[in-house]
Amino acid sequence: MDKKELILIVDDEDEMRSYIEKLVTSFGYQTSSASNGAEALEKLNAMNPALIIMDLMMPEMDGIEVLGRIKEQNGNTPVIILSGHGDTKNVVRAMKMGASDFINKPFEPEVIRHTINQVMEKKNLILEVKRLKEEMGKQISYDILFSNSKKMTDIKSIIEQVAETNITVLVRGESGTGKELVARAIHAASLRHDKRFVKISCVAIPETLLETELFGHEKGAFTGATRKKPGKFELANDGTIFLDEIGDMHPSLQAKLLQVLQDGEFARVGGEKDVKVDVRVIAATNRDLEIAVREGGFREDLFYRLNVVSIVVPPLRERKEEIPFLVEHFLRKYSQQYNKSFTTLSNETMTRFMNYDWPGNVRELENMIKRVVVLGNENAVLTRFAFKGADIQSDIQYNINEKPKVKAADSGRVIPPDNGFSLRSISKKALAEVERETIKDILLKTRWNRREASRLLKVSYKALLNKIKVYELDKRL
Amino acid sequence: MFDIHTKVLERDVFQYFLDLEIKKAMRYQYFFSLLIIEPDLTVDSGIRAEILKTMAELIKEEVRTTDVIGRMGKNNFYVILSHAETSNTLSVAERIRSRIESYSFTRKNGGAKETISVGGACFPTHANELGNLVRNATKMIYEAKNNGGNKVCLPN
Ligand SMILES: Nc1ncnc2c1ncn2[C@@H]1O[C@H](COP(=O)(O)OP(=O)(O)O)[C@@H](O)[C@H]1O
Ligand SMILES: [Mg+2]
Repeated sequence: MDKKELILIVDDEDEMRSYIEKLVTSFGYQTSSASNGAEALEKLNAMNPALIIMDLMMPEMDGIEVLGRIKEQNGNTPVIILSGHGDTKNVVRAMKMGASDFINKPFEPEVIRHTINQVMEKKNLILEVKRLKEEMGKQISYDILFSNSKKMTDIKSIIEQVAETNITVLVRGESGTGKELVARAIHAASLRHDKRFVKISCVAIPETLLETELFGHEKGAFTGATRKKPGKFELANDGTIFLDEIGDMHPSLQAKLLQVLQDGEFARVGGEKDVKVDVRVIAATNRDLEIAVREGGFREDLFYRLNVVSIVVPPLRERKEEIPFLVEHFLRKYSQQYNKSFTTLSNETMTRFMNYDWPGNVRELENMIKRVVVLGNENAVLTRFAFKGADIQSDIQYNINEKPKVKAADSGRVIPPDNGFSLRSISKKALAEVERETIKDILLKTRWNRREASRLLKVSYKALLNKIKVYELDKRL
Repeated sequence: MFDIHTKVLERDVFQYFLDLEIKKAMRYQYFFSLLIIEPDLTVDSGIRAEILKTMAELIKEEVRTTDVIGRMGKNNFYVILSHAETSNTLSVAERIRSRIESYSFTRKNGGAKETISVGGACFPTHANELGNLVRNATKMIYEAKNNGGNKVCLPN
């Protein structure tokens, strides 16, 4: 105990008080004492002790009364009650009023130590939980960013309108636009926010497996079902279930899902008894469900059941005004996460970002920023555009007089251009140099793990091997 | 980590395991249950320690070695039964109850009988988060006690 927390000891008997003080000091705490209730309340105010040990039997204001006032004044300070024999009734009352624990007099020193430790640990645990909760709360509000774009403001207001209802919501939009974030935002704003949010992706799971994932199975339902398994619907009870990529769900399962949506009941695989649940359903898809319905891949009745409210998240290219906000958000997020200090992008890179189409939407942008932060420079990002070579648009604003801030390849390093550099003055050669240096850089950082490097550079493995050959890159150089 | 008298897990350590169990059960989708076990008679503190110690040993013998036992209060034990759903929870709890009922506790003045009450709740059948699971099990132990003790109660 190196922190030396303060413990306030309240007892009217001088002898007892100084005995406990001595003990508690020997356990490594600071102490202060009071011989009556009034004094105790004063000291509580003035010194804000970590813990109070108080006798129940005191003249004038007895322990019960003082306890009541302590709890009014400062409900978080734990109180340990000291009681004599035959005082059970008052002890019970004290515990009901919020005392943390009690000790019967006479007591062994060990008992006092143990009780103090337990109460302190519990207090710290409560503080820790509170801290974690606050942190999590922060993270949630921090993680979804509604910038000033009209489209996202509209989405935000729909979320607010539907959140507190139990209406099923269908979130639609291309991959990486933020559909899952929208689903989480609905849950976070709903009355179920402190209950479970359970996610399941319906894509890439074989039909039969998906069924047991969603609905669970009974013991012996099929070979290999050695024990009963609860499904995601049961796990999400009272909360929200997020069915991602619903458009890929097999039609036979669609029927079972429809039944849950209608009755709030289902049977586990191999079971007869219905399981009742109260779950709010949010589904997402990047497929055109109307077409799927027409072609018979998606049940029409389920479509209408899901599509009560639908939120369409537009692709990033249709809300480019958000890019600077998102960039700032991700820069902050990842420099914090990786303990780096990368806080802004060059104007040049930003201009390129604004002119890019972002087929992978916000996810692509996020990954790009993450790479910039991790690698500590913008080269990897520039490379991505560099690979596109000539098709970098000519409508970029650039400074004709500026010299390219690219050093010769043999100097071994590329200075990241950070205040806008002239595109026109970069010859194909310079581009090639940037490319060569970037590839070299990334190969070094990945210790020549070519698979990893190709993933980071977003080129195929084969293309990378080819570049290595063309640029005569060598592990030993 | 272990309670000095009964050699089962201390409160905080048990709480940690319970928290972990819920996370694992969510993730790997399995059932488990929580039992609260309390002696029916509040015996005086002199012999209580000895009796609780024996009870802890008996409980240990009736559950699997992978189940987790903790001492949460002065007068009770909590048990996590991993991969157990309502029906096997009921049978394990019943087994513990009858084992203790039939055991002769040794005392200075000859053998003596003790009984316990058991309250339980099953994840996710009765609750899918920590607070509610504990609340449900607590409600059930009160129900067992209010009905005369020496009983096992689970939510229906
Ligand atoms: N408005 C936003 N603010 C912050 N991050 C976002 C936003 N939209 C998307 N993202 C991030 O982009 C990534 C993809 O989002 P996600 O919700 O998984 O998309 P989808 O489900 O549509 O494929 C996630 O990492 C998410 O955090
Ligand atoms: Mg997604």
